[in-house]
Amino acid sequence: MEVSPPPNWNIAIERAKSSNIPSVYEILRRHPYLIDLAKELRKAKEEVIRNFDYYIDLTRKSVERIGGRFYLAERPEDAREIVGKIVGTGKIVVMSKNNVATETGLRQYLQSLGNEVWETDLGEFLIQIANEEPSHILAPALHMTKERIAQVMKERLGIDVPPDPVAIAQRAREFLRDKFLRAHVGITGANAIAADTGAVLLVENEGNIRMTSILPAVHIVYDGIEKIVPTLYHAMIETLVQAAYAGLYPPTYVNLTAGPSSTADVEMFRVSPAQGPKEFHMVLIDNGRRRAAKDPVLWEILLCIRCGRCSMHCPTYWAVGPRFGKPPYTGPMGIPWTAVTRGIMEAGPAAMLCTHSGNCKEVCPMGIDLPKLILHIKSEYLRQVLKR
Amino acid sequence: MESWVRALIDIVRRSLETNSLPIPMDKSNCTEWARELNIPRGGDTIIYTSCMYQMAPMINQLVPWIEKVRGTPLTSLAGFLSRFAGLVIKPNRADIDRANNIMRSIVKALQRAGVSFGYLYEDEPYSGALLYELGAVDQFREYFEERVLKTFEKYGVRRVITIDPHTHYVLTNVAPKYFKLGFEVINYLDLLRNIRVKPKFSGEVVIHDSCLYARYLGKYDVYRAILDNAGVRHVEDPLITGKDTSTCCGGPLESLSPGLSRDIAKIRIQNLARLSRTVVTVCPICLANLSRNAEGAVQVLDINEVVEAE
Repeated sequence: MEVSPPPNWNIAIERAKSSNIPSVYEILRRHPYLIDLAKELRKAKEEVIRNFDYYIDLTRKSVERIGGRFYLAERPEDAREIVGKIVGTGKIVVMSKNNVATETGLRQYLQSLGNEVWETDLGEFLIQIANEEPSHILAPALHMTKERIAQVMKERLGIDVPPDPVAIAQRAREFLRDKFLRAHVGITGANAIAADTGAVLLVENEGNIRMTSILPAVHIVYDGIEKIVPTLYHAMIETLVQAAYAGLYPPTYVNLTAGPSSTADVEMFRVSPAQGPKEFHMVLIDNGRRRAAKDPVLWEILLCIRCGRCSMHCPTYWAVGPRFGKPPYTGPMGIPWTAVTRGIMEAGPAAMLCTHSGNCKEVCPMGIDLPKLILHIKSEYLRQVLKR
Repeated sequence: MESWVRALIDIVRRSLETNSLPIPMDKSNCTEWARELNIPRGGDTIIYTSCMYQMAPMINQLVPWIEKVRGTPLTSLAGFLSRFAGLVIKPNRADIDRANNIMRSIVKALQRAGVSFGYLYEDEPYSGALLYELGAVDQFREYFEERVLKTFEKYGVRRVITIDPHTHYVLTNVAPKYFKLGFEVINYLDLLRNIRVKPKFSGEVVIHDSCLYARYLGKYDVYRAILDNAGVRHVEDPLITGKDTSTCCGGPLESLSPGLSRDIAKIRIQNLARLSRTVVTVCPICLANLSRNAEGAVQVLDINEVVEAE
């Protein structure tokens, strides 16, 4: 069985590489402090991974202190149900790009409850309307050329648009603006969650996260427990490091959300809501993460900040794209993430395609020894296969 | 994937049992280069070829064959076929002569470096690198202990000179995780770096790094220094030949997924060709895989075909 990439993959990945790879090197050359921040962040994340239960509990207390509600979900179905109960039915839901939502099938679940659900990140929106799977951890529509995007927008939404990135962004904005204004619930992920304050940090360039987290009356933060860092200071660092290694620095927006909106302008008495949401919920999912934290090899993937740089430097990813891994977790980081969230047998066949070229380890801001993790998955997979 | 992986590991293991090589090949091809060189058998210090350069000609013939067998019902017969492959498929004579010349060039360099060394001839075991790289870690450990360690112990080897990155990596980074090795490991490039060398080739080249040498074994600068010493100009581009950015030749996948291996090779060749029409490799697997897929876009030469000891 040979593995082949999606149609036009080679064109799409060449375009992405030629713009992204030089950008990251240039950003790091211009702002060398980012390299030190990345090292500091790794230490902070290691501390949380070693003491998950303690930090989850601390996060819970902090979120409740700032007027939010906190939920810990063991399995994907638990997480979906929690959100389903908050959302209910017949609502308009806007979502910002969220790999854990894809990991747990959240959008489809909310739709099945009778809600109208829209992805608001342009890339995620495009694969939603094309009904396809994400191909890159950060740029989910990486596999779609501008020509294909124009075709999909015409076919699925009846929107006429030339194959031009500016026009595509413009039309998508017009379409989604109406959804934002009418939405009841906004669901975001988190780049980092500060255990000491319950604050959530999200980094973006489009502005869709800001609107998702501000316009609807209910804001749900939905992500994995590995997003927790000890303090708000570390959470700030994570947004900067993630943006830089993704090649987008400075990020256009960094959003900090710590609870529902409130005002104390009338007689200094604090009331909620004000202009922003009146409800703030945080749903964190385990789905194999705490078990992985105890694994002597796999634990390291929990450090991943999802910048996607490893994929940009991986020869197997260049050749087969999202077929190297299982969406949403593709590319070098996707193999261990698939193992954590779906098990070794799901991750194994993709792991076998690793050439151990080692570029991923060199470019990883967290210094994760990805080739070692992937080899470990190969060997565990083969143990099972050869036993049969 | 599952059935082919099983079949492939089966082929490798059977082959190792029958001819001590991971592929079905006549073992005499491993030692042909040493004829008339009068290298002593065994000794304190040995050259350890692991038959890597010598296997490359056979690999070139086998990969297209694997591509045909893979995914067909023949897969289940792979183990059976593998025993006959060695009889049916013959490496190309020109390829064999070329590999032997590279070997002789390495030996000459070692002699110039003042190293006296022996060779284990037909008793030299393959390192087991392919098993490890495929992820068959348990099978690797068993094989390495049984064949490699025992042979080295039997000959009282104290110092091993490796001439390729895969064998070197196994001896320095893999085996010590599982075994206490009673011998020292040196890579020939570190010796070559300190002797006077001259160019065998005039013109500019581009280096195709071995992933293992560049990113796992800290030798990125070593072969560059050798080319510099010989006055061979190598074109560099931080996005193509940088330590982080130089990528795989596709070789490690040639048995498991020949099509993907070829796609990766082609991407690499395309990038290298932007810098020079002559590519210099430092690994026999890179040499084989890039050459097989070059299709005239570049010529691929081993470092020993570009520089030689004075």
